[in-house]
Parts: sequence; structure tokens; C-alpha cells
Amino acid sequence: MKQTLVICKSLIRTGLLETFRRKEAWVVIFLTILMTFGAYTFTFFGVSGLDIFVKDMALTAVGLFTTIIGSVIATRQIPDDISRRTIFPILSRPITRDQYVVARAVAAFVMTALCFVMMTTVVTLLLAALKLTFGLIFLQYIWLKLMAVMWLSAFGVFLSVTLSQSAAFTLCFMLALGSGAFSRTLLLTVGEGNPAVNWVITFLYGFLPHYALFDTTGKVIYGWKPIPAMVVVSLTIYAITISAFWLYLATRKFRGQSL
Amino acid sequence: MKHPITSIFICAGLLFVSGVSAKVALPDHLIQPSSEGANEVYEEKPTTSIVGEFRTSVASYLYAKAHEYMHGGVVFRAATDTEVANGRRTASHGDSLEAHHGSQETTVIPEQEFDPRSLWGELDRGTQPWMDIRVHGHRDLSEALPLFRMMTWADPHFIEGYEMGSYLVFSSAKNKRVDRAMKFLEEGIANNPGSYRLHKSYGHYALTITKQNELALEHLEKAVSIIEARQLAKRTQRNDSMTEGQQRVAQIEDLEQSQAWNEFIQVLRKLERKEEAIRWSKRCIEVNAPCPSGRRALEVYGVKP
Repeated sequence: MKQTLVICKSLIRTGLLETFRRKEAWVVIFLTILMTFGAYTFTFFGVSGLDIFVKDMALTAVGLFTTIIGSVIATRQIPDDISRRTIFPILSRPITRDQYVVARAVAAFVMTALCFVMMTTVVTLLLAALKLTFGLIFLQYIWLKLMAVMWLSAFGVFLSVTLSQSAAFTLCFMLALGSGAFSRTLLLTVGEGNPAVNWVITFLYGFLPHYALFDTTGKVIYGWKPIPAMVVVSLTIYAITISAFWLYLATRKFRGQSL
Repeated sequence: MKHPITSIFICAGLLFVSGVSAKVALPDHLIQPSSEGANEVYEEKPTTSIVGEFRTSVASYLYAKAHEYMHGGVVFRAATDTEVANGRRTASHGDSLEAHHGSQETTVIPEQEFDPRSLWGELDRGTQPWMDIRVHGHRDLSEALPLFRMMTWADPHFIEGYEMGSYLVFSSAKNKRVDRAMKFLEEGIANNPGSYRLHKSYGHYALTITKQNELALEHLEKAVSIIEARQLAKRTQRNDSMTEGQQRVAQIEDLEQSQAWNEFIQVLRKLERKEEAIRWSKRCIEVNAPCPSGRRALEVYGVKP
């Protein structure tokens, strides 16, 4: 365990340096500011009362760019190491392939989480400057988004050891971004079944991508009351379980993979 | 230092060129497919069609957003006939706001008893904006108003935007700002002089709220004359091959037209223009069978339909 943590720490450090070297974090932060401020510029043309619209644009931008950067980071971790052949010196050290995959997923999670926190901080400060604030539910939003990022990182790493890098990114991004639409479509298709069918649906439903389930943007921007603690706890347990599941599959796949 | 200055000049030049292009191109781009001479412009300038579609898409997106804003982010959809038959809850209001829903709307996230996902459904209802649609309330409607301003800027021919926007301007203010609602409609009429719906709405406010009967007559007469001019085309368009959606749109059109007729005859009666009221009542019954105002007018004036 301790050894895995040491490896994680090392990979996180190099991963962060890579992310900042590529200037990805700065680009998404800049675009977030642009979208938020872009929405606010309507006030210059005499349109007042745009509080919700500006908040909506700001959090939509944060959510969208977190998904993009999360998918990019998670799906490039292992393929990049393989293509640059840096994986060989890493695996020549006394670490297992399982530890390597887990460390890469943790590194992806930390990097994406850091980008998300940076974007959120910038947006919060920007909105505060425009005299727009969020309620207590915003803290739950941050926590649940971090849980979503954990799922995204594990899922992205699993896809990256299963598919080519570009296919993994496309699928990861599409499934994360469209998860809400997929769930709704399934719901419409299934309709109301009998209890036995419902149990099967409930079980299988858990394996579908539920990135949107962690997204409380709607409640935050409209100032709803905080979410019941049980919902947050349930989603946290689910995020940990499903991330562990995808990581388990990723390690199984990577064990027998020729490099 | 040289490069930034060059960049600024290039940007300024591009902005100038864009501005001039927009100024030259916009009149074409504002032409709607239904307007006179639009086909020729669309044939010669394909970008007109593309830009037109973009504008309409933006306006439609903002319209959907406005609907969301009014309901605190809760997303609605049309309920299927099967769902309604199975007892799925459909929209009705827990407050005084009326007339902005279709007849069979329900929430995208279902209620517990209609949700096959059990725990997942609970989590969905916990994290996403959701409320019981049967007695749902509305947020401060003024929050949605800026979107109506923006959507009618994006697409000045978006009739629903003007209609619903003026209704919200009127109904959201505590002191019923009918003047602002009518001003918004005036802008809509200026951009869409051929829209009977905007004339009808304007005439409705003038007749029922501000009690300006002459003004109401002017607009309701215009609305009816537009309907009359289009009546023949409408009749030939409606047939059995229409889809369910087209039939629903046709029903709404019928209802709107019927309201315009009724209010037109009402205002004629209020202004005591007996001959015109009789003439238009007969015409109303001829083209619009129920026409309660027309029948009532003829009954009052002792004339057989």
C-alpha cells in the first residue's frame, strides 16, 4: 500500500508538470472565464436580471471543461507512456502492473480534480465580483463533482487499456457528456415494467455511465436547498464502488497486455 | 512591441470587415422562409439559410431555457398517450400562473411510483431539480424575462418569444405592467407585421386590460384580415395525411384564430357597430363553425345566422 502511494505521488507530480507544460489547465480556465464573462456582457446592452443565466453559463462551462480535460487526461495516461516508451523504466522498478494502473488512475483523478478546483475558484471569484453567490449546496456540488471525476478517471483509464487512445477519448467523452441523455432515453424506452423487470433494470442500470447523476448544477444555479445527506453518502459509496470496478477490469486487462 | 501593435491592427481590421459584412448581409439573413421573396434570396445566398437556422436554433434554445428558469431547472416533456392512460401525472399549477403549458406535460424524471429504477430514481430526484408536476409552482418570472429579450434579438421573427415574453412581462410584475407588455408586442408587430397572433395578443390586452376599444379594434381587425387572407391556403393544407404533431399545431392555430374572431366581434359590439358586427358574425360562423361571440351577437341583434 505504502509503495503504491509512493508510486502515485511520483506519477501525480510528473502528470501535473505535464498538464501545466501543455497549458491545458490555463486554456480551460481562460475559456471558462470567457464563457462566464460572455454571458455577462449582455448586461452592457441593457438586458438586466441575468443572474441565473450567468451562473448557468459559468457552471456549464466548468462542467463541460472538466469533462473534456478529465477525459483527455485519463485516456492518455497509459497510452502516452507506451508510445514514448517511458513505461519500460517505470515497470523495471519493483512495482506491479496493477500498482501502475491504479497509480495512473489516481494521478489522472488528482490532475483533473486540481483543474476542476482551479476553474471553480476562478468562477466563484468572478461571480463574486459580479455580486453573484451560491448557497450551501455549492459545497455538495464540489464534492459530488469530485466523485464524478473519480469515476471519469477510472473509466477513462479502463477504456485506454482496452481501446486505442483516440477511440478511448471519444467514447469516454461521449459517454460522460451524454450519460444523462442515455439514462433518460432508456427510461423512456423501458417505461413502467413489472417488479421483477424493475429489479433487473435497477441492477443493470448501475453499470451504465452515470456521470450526470453527480451533476447538481441545476440545483446550485436555482438556489435549491442542500441535497439530503443520504443521497450524497449513497453517491459517494457508488462512486468508490464503480471506480474500483472499472479499475479492477483495467488491471485485469493490463496484466496480460503486451507492451 | 512591433508584433502586438500589428496584431491589434489586424484584429481591428477584421472587426471592421466583419461589421461591414454583417451590415450588408443581415437584411438577407433576417428573411424567413415564409416571407415574400424569401425563396429567391435563399436560392442565391445559401448562407442566409444557414445563418437563419442558427438564429432560430439559438432562439429555440433560449425558449427552452426560459421554460426551465420558470420551473427552477425542472425539465418537462410531453407525456405519451400511454403514460396519460396509465395515470402519469401531468402539469397543473400550484400558483396563479396559467396558459404556458401544453395539455399533457410531465417531468422528464418520473415520480417514484412510475420510476422503474427504485434507488437510482431516488438519487436522480435528489440531485436534479425535480418537483411534483401536479401542483408545481413557479420562480420569480422576471428571471426568465432577459431570455425573451435575447431570443427576440437573436430571431426577431420568433413569434412565440414575443407572445410568451409579453405575457410574462404582464403577469410577473405585481402591478401588472401591461404598458411594457404591449411595448414588447409592438416591437414584435413591427418585425412581423404579417403575424395575426401578435395582432391578436395586442388587441386582447387593449380590449380586456387597458380598455382601449378603438386600438383593440384596429389590431383585431388586422388579425382577422390576415386570417381571412390565409384561410384558403390553410383549408387546402389540412387533410388526413397530417401527422399527430401537425394536427396538434393545426388545433392550436384553430384556437388562436377562433379567439381572434371572438374578440373582434366583441369589440365591434362594444363600439356599437351593429352592421359590421352582424356582417363579421355571419362570416365568422361561415368559416369558424362554433364562433360563440358571433352567434351571441346575432342573437342579441335578432338576426338569423
